[in-house]
Amino acid sequence: MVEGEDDEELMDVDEMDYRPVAAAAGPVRRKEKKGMDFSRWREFVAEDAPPKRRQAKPLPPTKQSAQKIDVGVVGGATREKGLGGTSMQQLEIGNSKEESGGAALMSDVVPRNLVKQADARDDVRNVGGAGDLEVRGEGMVLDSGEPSLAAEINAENMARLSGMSAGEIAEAQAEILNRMDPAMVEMLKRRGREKSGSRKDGAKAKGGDISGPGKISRAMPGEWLSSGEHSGHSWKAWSERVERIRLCRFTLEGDILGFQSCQEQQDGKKARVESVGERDFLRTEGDPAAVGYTINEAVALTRSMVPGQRVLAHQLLASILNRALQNLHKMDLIDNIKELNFDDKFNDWQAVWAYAIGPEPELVLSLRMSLDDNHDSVVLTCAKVINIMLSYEMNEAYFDFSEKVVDQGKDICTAPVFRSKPDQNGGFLGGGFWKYNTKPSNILPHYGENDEEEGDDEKHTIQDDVVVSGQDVAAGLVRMGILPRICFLLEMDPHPILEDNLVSILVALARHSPQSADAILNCPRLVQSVVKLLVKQGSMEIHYSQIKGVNLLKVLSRYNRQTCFNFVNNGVFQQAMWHWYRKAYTLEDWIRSGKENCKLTSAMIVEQLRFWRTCISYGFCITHFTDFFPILCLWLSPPSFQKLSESNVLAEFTSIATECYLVLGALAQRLPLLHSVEQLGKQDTGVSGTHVETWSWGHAVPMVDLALSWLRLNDIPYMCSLISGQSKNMLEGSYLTLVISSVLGMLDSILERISPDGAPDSCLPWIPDFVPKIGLGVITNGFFSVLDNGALGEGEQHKSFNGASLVQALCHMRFQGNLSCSIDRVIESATTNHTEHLKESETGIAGRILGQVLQNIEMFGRGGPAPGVGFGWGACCGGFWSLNFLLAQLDSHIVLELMKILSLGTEGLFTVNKSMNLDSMTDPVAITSERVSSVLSVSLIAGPGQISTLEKAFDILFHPSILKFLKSSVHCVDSHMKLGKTFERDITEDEYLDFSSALNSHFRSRWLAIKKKHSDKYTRNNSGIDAPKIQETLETIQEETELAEAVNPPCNMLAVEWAHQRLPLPVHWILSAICCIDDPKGNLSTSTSNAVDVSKAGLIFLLGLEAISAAPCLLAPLVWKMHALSSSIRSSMDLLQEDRSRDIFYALQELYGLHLDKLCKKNDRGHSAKKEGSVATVEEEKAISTEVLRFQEKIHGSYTTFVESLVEQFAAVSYGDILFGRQVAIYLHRSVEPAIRLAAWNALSNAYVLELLPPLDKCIGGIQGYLEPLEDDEGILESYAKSWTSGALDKASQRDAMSFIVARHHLSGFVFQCRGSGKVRNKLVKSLIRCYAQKRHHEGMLKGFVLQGIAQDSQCNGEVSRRFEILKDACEMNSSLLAEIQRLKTSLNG
Amino acid sequence: MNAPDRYERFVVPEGTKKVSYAQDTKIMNAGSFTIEREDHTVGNILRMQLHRDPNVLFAGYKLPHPLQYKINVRVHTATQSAPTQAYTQAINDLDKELESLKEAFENEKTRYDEMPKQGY
Repeated sequence: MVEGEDDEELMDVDEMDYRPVAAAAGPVRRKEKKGMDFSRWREFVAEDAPPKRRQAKPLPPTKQSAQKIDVGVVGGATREKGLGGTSMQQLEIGNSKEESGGAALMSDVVPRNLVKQADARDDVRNVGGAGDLEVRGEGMVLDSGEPSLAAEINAENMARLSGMSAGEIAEAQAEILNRMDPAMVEMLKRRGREKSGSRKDGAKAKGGDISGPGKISRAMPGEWLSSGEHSGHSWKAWSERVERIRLCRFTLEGDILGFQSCQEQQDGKKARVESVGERDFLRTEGDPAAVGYTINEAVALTRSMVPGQRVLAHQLLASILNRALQNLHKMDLIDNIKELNFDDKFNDWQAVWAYAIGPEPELVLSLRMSLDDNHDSVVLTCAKVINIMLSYEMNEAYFDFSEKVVDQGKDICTAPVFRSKPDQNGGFLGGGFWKYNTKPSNILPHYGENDEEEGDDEKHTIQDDVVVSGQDVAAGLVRMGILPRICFLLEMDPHPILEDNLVSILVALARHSPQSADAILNCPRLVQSVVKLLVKQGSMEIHYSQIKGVNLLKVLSRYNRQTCFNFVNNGVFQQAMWHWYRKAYTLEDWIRSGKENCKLTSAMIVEQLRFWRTCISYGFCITHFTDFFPILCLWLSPPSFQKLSESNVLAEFTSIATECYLVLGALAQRLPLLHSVEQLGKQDTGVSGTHVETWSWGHAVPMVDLALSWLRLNDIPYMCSLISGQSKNMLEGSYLTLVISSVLGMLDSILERISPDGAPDSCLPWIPDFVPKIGLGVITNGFFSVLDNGALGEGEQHKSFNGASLVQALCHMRFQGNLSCSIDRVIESATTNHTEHLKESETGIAGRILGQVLQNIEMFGRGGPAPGVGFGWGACCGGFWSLNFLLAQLDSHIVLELMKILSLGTEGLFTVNKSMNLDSMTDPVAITSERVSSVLSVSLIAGPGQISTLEKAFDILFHPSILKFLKSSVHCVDSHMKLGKTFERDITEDEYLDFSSALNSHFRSRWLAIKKKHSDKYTRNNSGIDAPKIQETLETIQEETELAEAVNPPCNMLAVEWAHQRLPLPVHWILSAICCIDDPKGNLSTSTSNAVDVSKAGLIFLLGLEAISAAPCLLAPLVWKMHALSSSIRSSMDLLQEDRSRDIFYALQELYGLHLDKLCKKNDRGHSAKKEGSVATVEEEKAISTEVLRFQEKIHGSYTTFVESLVEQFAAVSYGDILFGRQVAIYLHRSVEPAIRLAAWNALSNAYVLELLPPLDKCIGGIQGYLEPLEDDEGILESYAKSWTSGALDKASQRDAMSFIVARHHLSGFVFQCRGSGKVRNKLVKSLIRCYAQKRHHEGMLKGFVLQGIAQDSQCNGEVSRRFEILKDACEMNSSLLAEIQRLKTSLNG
Repeated sequence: MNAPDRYERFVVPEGTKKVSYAQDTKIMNAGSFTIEREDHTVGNILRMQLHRDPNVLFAGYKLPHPLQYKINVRVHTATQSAPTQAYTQAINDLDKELESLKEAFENEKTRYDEMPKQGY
């Protein structure tokens, strides 16, 4: 047995590697005993269970025999035992025994093997238990006792084996070999080899995959798929991508090692079931990382009995998730769109992320369990994994950035959401309200009753937990009681790193949604223990957990004013800010304390300031200004930069300074209006006693002087180089830019309090003398040259980002500050140049980001590519959560501001007008259209919480002047395109006004409305359980109205939810006006007459946009535009009855026809190009080449019903209107997917209105689009034939309707030109001929059918006779039919 | 609840005509008939009869709402005819057809009834 010896050698090597691990695992074995006892006990208790279980899993006969033999190989003595065992694990152990059998010559091998076996058994039982849980969780009956039973048998086998001498074993082996089929022996040996070589482990791991979790996972995808089946093709592709990750193997560093091929399972071993424990056991031999692990294996390993293995598994998971996150982050969005190459298996991190936290809840379940582990190291690594899973760091980086920006304001909840599905009543128009992936009420099932009923387990099942965590991992964790556990751990005085991780989990959870924040607040003692952390160490030492603790407080208080109030009242605020009550120190002291310490203190101070700022915006803690001022003023004036950069703490200093000015800005917003309340003289500390405190002007004015010192840009070293365009010191420059922008922000809000936004400009009695100073400071220091720089440095993200915020602050200032006219002019000239530039960049960014992100997120429902929480919900590059996007949003903000200033300029000041006109003279059309398109792209960018931005955008977009402009541009295009009817009807001024208001109100109510929350009220009010309730409402009523006007009203919430609103807008939002008429229920809150107006205006607007070819409008796919036109006439003909809108409708149809032709052509070209390369599969090609208008996939799964109702309307009321007919006929276009075409045809045929369709040359788009390529869908062909024979086409043939031409063309093409599927062809021909026999008047039709596509000249006789041959063939010798053919032939010839 | 009384489905209210006709304002030889208290039974058969008329270019009907017990029939004819003409002709033809159907049915019925008497 040469092979046997090979085995020996291999095995020996393995053994060597194994030994140390075995030793380490030694102590645990004792614990195992318990497990064994337990399993026995279970069998005793449930006496009838084991037999049942055995019955439940009948083995395929082949397997059983294989198993018998396998065990037999080891030794005849143990054979009988083997019969009882069921698990395929037997095979495995059998194999190793075979080896040991061979190796038994060396006496010490057997005992070692024994150890190994024992270990394996441990693992088996352990994993068996875990699998048990899993199975129960899934609600499936899986034979849970199996693995342990098998293990017992193994143990017995083993014992017997060890009792035998080597000779005996050899004897037994020989006996078995004799009895066995040699082929079988060969196979077994081969398998033995495979197994002993751990390199070839791939196939086996697959087996492990299938065993425990496999069953579940097979059930899950189905469920998972069904939720998104409507999106058909793309959904399938996506789910395949995700499913593939199941087979993906990762190294210990988290890199993708490879995909295990399924080939190895092909040779009869496919059905092998193998337990996870078995795999663990094997993996400890040799190099455990050599083959890598799949995610499922890693999850299974976290339930190992060996703590070390659990830790390892957690580390593995952490590194996988981390790698996925990092790569997602790195992924360049734009590149990704270009080369959307999912076949690149090794970079599909999106799928990895989705798979890891997506459809299968095992990961969450096991993490939650591991958190209860009694080994500290396991808990620690588990906490790390959870942190990564919630992508704490990525999200914090995002929020950190967004907080640095002046005025950005609100936090956005990270809870995953999905769009509610569109329904037919809204015209299938997408972009519904966002909903949470999991119901908020599911996060805490027994809200408020937690304390009383502990044992309320009937309602609360694990199944629910599984469902919830499958939808949303964070919600699942909260639901499974992670909070009390964290609280407990925190109270146990944990290791600092663990503490740190725990608090960051809390922060991540608090960011999730208001409900989970409530859960944190309501978890008994949790917040208290966090607060205790803050003050625990009385020393100067600062821990990261403390910083995060302050952050947590801030996040929590952002959700709710009441929460913040409680924090302030309970002294939590003071505890969090205790550093500020200490003795003031100097900057030198701070620098001297060392780099590390500086970093910590700066991080701490920043967090504390942010917390304070949150309180200030709620109107609390303003009086603390005097307390904190001594330390605050350290950071307010420009330092000596030399010293800072020497000790390398510039970043720390600037971040504090930025934050300080942000706080001052927030304070400034709490100033009373300067001119409504004369407060300058009063030096006292604001109005105390009420809950809305105010800052006093007496404090504010000195701050202005400090701030002005920052404006001397030339004194600040790094700014100079930035301004002069040098690229060194870019980083420092960007730090300082942030400081300056926050300074400007503060000045801006002070100016705003002097002359508020809405007030008329001219009637200020007096201005304090610092205002001109500010103005001078701004001008003399050359801020406007900075502007240009900001724009130039676009390539560099940071810089452009800062530039953006700087410009924004400036714009604000210009807008709100009452600066002199000269400044105005300077700014105007600076900005006009700038606008164009920005617009360009703006549009670019916007368009590209949106193209992908939106579609990606919305295409799928729940559980799509954005499952779970996590950075950007797993979208590539973070999607909405990327800094790119934040930047784009900022840009959009500026563009709007500039737009506003410019329009003010054009209308107001003549002097400015002149400078404007210099630019606009050249090409006013271009500028306006530029403006429209940039506003459109701005509108696409705005995220949740930016409703006001959008309102501004709408105001600009639907301004009557813009409408007028669009109208005039339509004229140009009309003459250009020669659409026949020129669009010459005039629109009066009044009508423009009407249109503008109609559109504006429609779009506002359609897209910007916020869904009312009903059930939430209760929980929100409840949130302050641990604090004395103070009747806040009463207080607010008592406030004097005058004061309320004078002071900014405090905000009630500083966080925004994605759910319950519709932003960001879908690409096709502009179409909603047209679809609005098709909304019988009126859920857009517009009356029917109004709806008609809106639709009319919408049509004009759309045509105008098309005319100037505004980019974002063109982004909306053609399918949507076609659909919008259809839905505008689906329920009433009003639009077509009015002459003007009828013309517009026609023009749009023509225009889209052109687009359609262009698209088809492009696709054809792409198609042929592909063919040469022959990359894609046949099916893919088909999908790509032909179907431009995939209504069913792109718009709605049940689009057929829409088509049917459209046809019904057509049949009932249209009088055969030609425009309507064109619109219906588009559904017969070859580029529409077959299902829709079939539905349209059948509906038309059943209603006997095929003849009402227009002639082919009058249809939308080119003729070829309807005829080519030839139809190959048999269902449609049969449907054509049915209409033909039933006489529904008779009139159509007389009237030359397109339906007849199309049917004749495709039928003839199929019969005479296509090869193959003779059966269908014969059937079609026979039915046509039979029909001809009965109906004389079909002669002409049938002649046309035969002669279709043949030139009239006589030279084609050969072709005609060929066709008759085909017909004859098809009749299959039926004499009567042949006679009919003969008759046809004679009539044709004669 | 607030569902209309059942008789409303077939009792034409006083003061309203059973059938009213309105000429279309834009298209020649086109108009819509409103038939009170009828539904798909009449609407469909009438439409199909109108379709048989070679002069009729368009014939369609619509039940505006399930709780409005009326149908709108729209007819568009060629110049040599008129909607009212086509409509009346269709009604007459239908009358005749149904009459003959009834007659044939009754004949057959009597034949069947008499079968036992004749000793079959």
